[in-house]
Amino acid sequence: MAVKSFFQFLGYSFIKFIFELGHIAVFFTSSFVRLFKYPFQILKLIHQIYFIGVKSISVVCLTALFTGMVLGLQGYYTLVQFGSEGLLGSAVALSLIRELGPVLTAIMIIGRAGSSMAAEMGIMRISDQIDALTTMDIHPKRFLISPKIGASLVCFPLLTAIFDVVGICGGYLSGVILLGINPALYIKGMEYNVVMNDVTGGFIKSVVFAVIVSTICLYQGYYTHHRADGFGAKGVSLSTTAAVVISCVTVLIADYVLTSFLL
Amino acid sequence: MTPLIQFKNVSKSFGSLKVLDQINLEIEKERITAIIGKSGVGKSVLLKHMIGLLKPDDGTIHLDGMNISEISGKQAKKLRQKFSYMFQNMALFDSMTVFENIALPLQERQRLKKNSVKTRVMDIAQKLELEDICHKYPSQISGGMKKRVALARALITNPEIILFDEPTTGLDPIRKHAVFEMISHNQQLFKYTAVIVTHEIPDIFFIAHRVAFLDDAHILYHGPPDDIKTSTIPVVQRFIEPPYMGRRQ
Repeated sequence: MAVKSFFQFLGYSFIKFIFELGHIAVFFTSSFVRLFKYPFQILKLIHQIYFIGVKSISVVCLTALFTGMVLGLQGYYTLVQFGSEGLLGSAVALSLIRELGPVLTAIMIIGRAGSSMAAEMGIMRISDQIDALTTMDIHPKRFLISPKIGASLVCFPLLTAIFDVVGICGGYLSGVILLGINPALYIKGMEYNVVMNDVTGGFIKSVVFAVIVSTICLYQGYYTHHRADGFGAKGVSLSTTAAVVISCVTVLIADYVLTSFLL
Repeated sequence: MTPLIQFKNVSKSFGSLKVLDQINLEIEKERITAIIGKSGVGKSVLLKHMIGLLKPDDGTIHLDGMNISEISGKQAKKLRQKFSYMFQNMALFDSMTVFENIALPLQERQRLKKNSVKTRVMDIAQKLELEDICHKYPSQISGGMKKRVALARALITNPEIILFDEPTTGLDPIRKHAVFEMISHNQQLFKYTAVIVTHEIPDIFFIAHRVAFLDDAHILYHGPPDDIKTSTIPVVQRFIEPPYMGRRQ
């Protein structure tokens, strides 16, 4: 009996998960398509680029600088044991461009903009603002969701690029200025070992993360009223938490999957 | 009189709670219909069915003779453009100013030029004494003001059907009468169909052409406001004539 109910639970959870995935895919597609529907929402898009992108620059730069510095420090003490400290530049650059840049940028944006997007949608939902748009014959997804998804697709790769550059500078700071590695070795090592495929791979990841993060965060907020475990303010708080946790975990899983395809 | 909106055996439940049970109701064209009843009996739920925010579990809703659950997306869009809805909690966009809130349906739905939007918004703002707060955000104004802003937003597009969900709750008696007077006056002027969910007894009887009393998931009374006073249904009597009335005499 216990075994039967275990498998029942497993089956039910799996079907629910697949249903949810389908729902999320439809949510993203229908919102993304509306980005190209007339009248275009250029002003809203610019506003969202400012909110998601420009306002995230400082936190991304700070994270990138210290990540690069730590990589430089750790890399130096590992490589020096094998007499290969000259490879520090390429080690730092490859780690940042291939992995840490896209992943940490995504996680920083989740914390700064993703949580706020989920909370904003949730509050709009529980205070009937989304229903009000529907009654005014304004499509809520076109009006609220599309500009945010569009802005994420623009901002994620740009912020990743900033992260990579600042991170490499951080590595230079700790490796060359603090620990005394030859600057030419640091730069030339990067030049020889980083190829265009590494850069393209990093940007592919950042675009995929943009889709994942914006869709999950907005979906959680938009459907706050569907939550069975909380209503009103509690529902919004649970949606925001779920948005952050699910986005972070999905980004890490997607990173592994993408890396295995890109290598 | 032609019914504009018809509920035919409409039922709606939320989990185990049955809110509407086999409801039959006709909303007449170019008339004011009031839906009254105790708090939490499903008056707002009934109103949300009219505009398609909620779908019935059972039964059909007809608008202009068309079953709204069977019409195409384009037809639904066309029908929706005839409506305005004033929410019970106002549903104002808190990141927009009062002006932007009122102007939104004009900008997004009718795509008017900036100047004509401004003229129309300022015109209605003046009628509802909102000119001085147009630059403020909803969080900076009082509950009564928010009500008037929501009312202005509902009226700005000159819709054919306006659904009011408790438009006067939280207003002082003077403004309450002003709102009812404005609804009635504009209704006579523009000949729109109004459905008002309210608790304002007996004020609503002065402007409504029809009254529907909802209780225990059923419409217990539907007819002219004058006749409801002679209703023999105990719950209706208790509602329209509360027990404390007359004690002081």
